[in-house]
Order: sequence, then structure tokens, then C-alpha cells
Amino acid sequence: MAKLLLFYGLLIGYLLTDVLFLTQMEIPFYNEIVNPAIWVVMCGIAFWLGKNDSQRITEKNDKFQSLLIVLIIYIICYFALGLVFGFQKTPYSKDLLSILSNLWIFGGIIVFQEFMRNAMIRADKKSFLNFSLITVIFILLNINFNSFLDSFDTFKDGFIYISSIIIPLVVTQAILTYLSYIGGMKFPIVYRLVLIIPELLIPIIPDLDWFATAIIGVILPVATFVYLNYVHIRKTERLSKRASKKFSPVIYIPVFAFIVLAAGFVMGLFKYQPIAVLSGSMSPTFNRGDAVVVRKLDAGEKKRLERGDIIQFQSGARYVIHRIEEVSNDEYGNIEYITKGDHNNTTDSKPVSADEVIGKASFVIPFIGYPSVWLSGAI
Amino acid sequence: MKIKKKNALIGGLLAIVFVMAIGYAAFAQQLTINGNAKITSKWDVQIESIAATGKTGTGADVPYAAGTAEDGTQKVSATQAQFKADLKSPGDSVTYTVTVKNYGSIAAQLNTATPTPQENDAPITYTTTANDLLNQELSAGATQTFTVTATYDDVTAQPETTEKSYTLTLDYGQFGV
Repeated sequence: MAKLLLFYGLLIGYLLTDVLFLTQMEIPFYNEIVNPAIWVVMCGIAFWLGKNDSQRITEKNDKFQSLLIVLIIYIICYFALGLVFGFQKTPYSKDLLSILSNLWIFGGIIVFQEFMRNAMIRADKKSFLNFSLITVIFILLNINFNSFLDSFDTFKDGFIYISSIIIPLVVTQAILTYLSYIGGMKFPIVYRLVLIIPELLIPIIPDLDWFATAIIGVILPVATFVYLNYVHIRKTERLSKRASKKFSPVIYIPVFAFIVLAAGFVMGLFKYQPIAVLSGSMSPTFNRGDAVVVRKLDAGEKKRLERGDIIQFQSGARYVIHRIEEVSNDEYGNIEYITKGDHNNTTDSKPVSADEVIGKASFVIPFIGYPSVWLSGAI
Repeated sequence: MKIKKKNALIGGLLAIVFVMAIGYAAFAQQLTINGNAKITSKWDVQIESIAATGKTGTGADVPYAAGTAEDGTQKVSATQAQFKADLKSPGDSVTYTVTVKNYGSIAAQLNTATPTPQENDAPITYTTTANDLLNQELSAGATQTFTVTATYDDVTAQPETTEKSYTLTLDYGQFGV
């Protein structure tokens, strides 16, 4: 117990020193030498104190293969998403010296952190409290506190930050602790390296928006847990075929498929996209809090719209869904649409060009847009 | 699943990754590159603030009112700073100071500062000192500042419009090791 408390004390002391002093001081070679040196000292203490702690791991190869399968599938899906979302250049230098330096800066800390995590697990393998506290302290160790407060400047910023950074971080740290518990330090090290190495080695990575980042950041750890937990329980508990069926990852496939399809639908990856109605300008056709499912139009369809069609279009930085009141031509002969909300007395101030049209309303689902309305109200 | 079967599955998946890598190398020119990564695990370079710090003549800063239909966004977000200057007469100018902060733990440098449009024609012209920061180290936790000045040039003919948009794209990358 005293040993475990010392490990916690070391990590909390490091965390406070790092956040309050070290990162504020612009110490030369902090990432390359100073920070790794601190971790080496902590790992040395953990190694010395924990040399008698053992961890019995059964079917290690089988579990490791399962982990590799999940991670390789993830890499395939992740880069395939780039074909949908586009790619972005990584900021990290790609000359050999920089790559080696970055591998040391990123990979070294990963190895040290996972060594400490595993030492803490080995010190108390049975306690759920220890499992939870380890997860919490490693969440704190992996938060960037330099920009933490700035991430909550507005409600919107805070919501995006919590969704795309904090929640995936919490779930990831929980799975890392679990991996360390069922497979030793090698498992979480491999998991983390697979996530970070593409950024360091490949010049471009998928340009996912915050929502896709959040969804992937949660799905990967959960899928890893479902599959590895099945393999772990089947092997360690020696369950019958029937008993092990309830842990089978196969039964979760429809759930994951539904989440992925629903997320893609909301993100607008398909021909149809739901849009929450934030104002009452189209009442009574549809009301604030309803969701309009919009069918995206190609360039030709955008020029063949008719009076009475309800269209979604871009107006400045906002998106509007109003009815076409009149089809006309601008001074150059290009088609433009005069639009109006059904509840409004006058037409919209500016005509809508074909280029500004995004899609045409197909049908309305009442009330399901209310969460977005409440959220935008809070924003 | 048996270990041999899993090995075969891993081999098959790695083959897919290999094919994807070949495809990536072959079609890299045709992939859609949207820009630079804004925030990654240790990379976090953000615009911290923008403020009107100088003016000449009757030039004035026009603050964005929160929630107006002007843009519906903040004046400053992590990767975007906006301003609106009111230049009434030739010779007016407003200077804005932009502060960029490295919130990450990796040293950064400004690789390029690209204005759009490239042509800087009268009557409203823009000048920036961002180019002075090129390739200079922005260490972790440090800030860099540069200015953007909007000037209503002296012209004899009255322009048709006095509105002009200007975008300065900053490309930060890792500072050379």
C-alpha cells in the first residue's frame, strides 16, 4: 500500500511541477532531455520498488494478435476516411533527424508512462479503486493544461473540446489501463504507438472534423475493449461456448454499425442529411425543434429548382431553409432564387444563387432537432 | 479464432495497408489536401488575440458585435482572427496586432505567410510584418506578434467600392531540429 501511495505521490508531484513550473520556464531541451530524465528517475524508482511484483498473463500471444487486428483495422478505416474528409498536412518535420527526435519525444514518454502504469497495476491487481485512480491520473497527465482554460472561452468551444478531446481521452486511458491489466505494459505501448506514429512518419493525415474525431476517439477504445475482453474472458475463465457467446463481439456489430451510420448521416456523408430547425420562420410547414432531412443536389439540379421548393442554402456563414418564392435571373443571366420563410411577411433580403444552394428539403421529423436548439441557445 | 487463423488475418490486413500505402504514393498528387493540422496530440499553435493598436486619419476599428449576422462567429478563434476597419478617406489606416501562442510542447516556426488576394491593388492595401517571423523559433509556451495594416491609399479617382476582404494564411510547422 505504501508503495502504491509513493507511485501516486510521484506522479502527482510530477504533474503539479510540470504544469505549474516546468512548462512555464522554457527550459532548453525540455522535451528531448529534461522531461524524459524525470520519467527515467520515476520509472527507476518504480522498477526498484516493484521488482517483486508479478503479473500472471495468460494467452498473451492470442490477446496480442487480437489487439493487432483491431489496430490494423482502425488504421485502414482511419486513412480511408481521408478519402471522404480530405487530408491535412502534419506539422511535424519529416527529415530523418526530426523523425528520430520526435520518436524519442513521443515514443519515449509513452514507454515511460506505460511502465509506470503497469508498475501501479502490479502493485495492486485486484482493486477497482486502483484501476480507476490510475486511469484518472493518466488522464490528467495527458491533458494539455497550457490551453485548457482557453478551450472553454465559449460554450461552443467547451462543448467541442469536451467532445473531441476529453471524452476520447477518458475512454482511451480506461482502455489503456485495462490493456495493461490483461496484457502487461506491451499492450498499451503498442496501442498508443500505433495512434501516434502515422502523425510522425506520414506527411498527411485525414482531416477529420471534431465530430468525426470524437466518434472515432470513442469507438476505437470501446471496440478494442469488446474484442479483447471477449478473448480474455474466454481464455481465462474457460467458459463454455454457450457462456462465452454473451461476450462475443459479434453481438456488438449491429450497435457499432448503427453508430457509424448514424454519425455519417448527421455529418452529411450521405446524400441525405438531417438539419435541425432553429427558428420558426417556416412555421407551420415545420417548426423550431423539428429536423428537416435535406437531399443534397448536384450542380444541374441546383439550376432546375421550381417555385414552391423548400431549399437549404448558405447565407454568409449561416445556413437557411426557406421556400422559393420566385425563380429569376441576375444581370448576367444566371439563375437566382427569391426565397421567403412561410411565416415571414417579406421575402429574404438577398436572392440566392444556384451555387449557394445546398439541398432540397425532403421530409420533416418533428421534435428531434430540439437538442440542437437547446444547445445553440446555450451557445 | 485459432492463432494460425489470426496470423493469416493479420497478414491479410497488413496486405491491405500495404496496398493503401502504394495507392497513397501513386495518387498523392490527386488527394485533397485541405491545409495544415491545427491541433494534434502535442501540437497546438493558436491565434491568441487580435487588437487594433494604431490608426491614422479618420480610420477606425469596427468591433464585431456578439451574435450579429455579420459572421456569427467569434472575432478570434483558435485558427482565425477577423477584423473590420472603417476607412473613410484616402490616407486613413488602421493597424492590428495579432498574437500567436504556442500552447503545445513542440517548438514551432512560421513557414509561410500567404496573402489572398496576392495582388495588393489600390485603393485599399494591406501590409503585414508576418514575413519578419519566417523561420523564427516559437518555443513551447511562447508568443509571437505581427501586425496587419489596412490603408486607404491616396488616389485621385473615387473607387466604386471601399470594401475589400483580405486573408492571410499562416503555415506553422515544427521548428527545425
